[in-house]
Amino acid sequence: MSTAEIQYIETPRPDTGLTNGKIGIWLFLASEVMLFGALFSAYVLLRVGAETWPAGREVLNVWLALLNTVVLISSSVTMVFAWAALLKNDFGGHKKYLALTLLCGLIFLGIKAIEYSGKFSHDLFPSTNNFLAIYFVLTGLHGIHVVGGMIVMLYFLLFGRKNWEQRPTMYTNRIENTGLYWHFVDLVWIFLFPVLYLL
Amino acid sequence: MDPQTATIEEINRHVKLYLGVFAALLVLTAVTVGVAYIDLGHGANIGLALVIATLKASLVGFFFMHLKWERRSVYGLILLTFFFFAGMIGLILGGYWDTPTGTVHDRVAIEIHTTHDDTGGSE
Repeated sequence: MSTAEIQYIETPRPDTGLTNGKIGIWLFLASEVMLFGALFSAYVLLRVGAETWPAGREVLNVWLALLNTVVLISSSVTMVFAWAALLKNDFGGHKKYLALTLLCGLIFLGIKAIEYSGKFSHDLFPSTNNFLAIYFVLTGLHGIHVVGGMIVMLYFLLFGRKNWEQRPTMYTNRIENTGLYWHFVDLVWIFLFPVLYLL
Repeated sequence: MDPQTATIEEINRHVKLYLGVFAALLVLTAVTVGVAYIDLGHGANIGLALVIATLKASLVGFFFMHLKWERRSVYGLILLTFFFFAGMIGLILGGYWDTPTGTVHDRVAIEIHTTHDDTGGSE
């Protein structure tokens, strides 16, 4: 192992009991909690400070959002299956589940694009009112996170085999960390769906 | 489950568990939508939706993100995050609801109101 390499990416660090990669991803997720938390606070402030506030389900398409919720939850399951397949030394199965997760991400973005274009065609833009402003900011930022996760998955699908063959534990840990990020993106949507669409 | 030492049987048991969590998440999603269309009062609807969302998030965290089997250091990190998150929300929202009366904002509101009344009276 070269000295320039990040330490403890395969075996856990004795004092934390975790690999450095896992500590890193959890620290990153902590910063993400603050980012989305600040925007959720902005939503609450805008809502309590407004004289009138539209019911989300009268402005937005609940059924498309419900479909997207199911798609994202399904993608979390396929992601965890992709990791479990590696533990069973089944790289073929892993690639299949990772590709399915990527497909779910693509479907999610496609449905989101239909939703956005529906709003734009009715002249509903972020500048229309505060509700739509915070709706587009929150769902847009969440969408960017979905794209980020998909880029990482695509990288592993295209170039992961070499890493798996040379250092399987390292690759498995990388997929676990990718999964932690992807589940967090799912977790954010779990709150966005009722807050924006149903309440 | 320790990934380094997990047996095939253990992994298969976990896969079944993940499917159970998936089913629970789908049921809770249906419940979220269902209760939103029942008028329980504004506050109760919001409270219930957030409780169900927190329950779903806990399922994702505990099982899909493996928190159930995770080391103590991760819990410490999450606790620290929660502290800062709660602090931020508390300061922002506390600041909104703790605005004292008689501030410049109230005076501006009164002026606008007065001007509006004056205009209305002259018509």
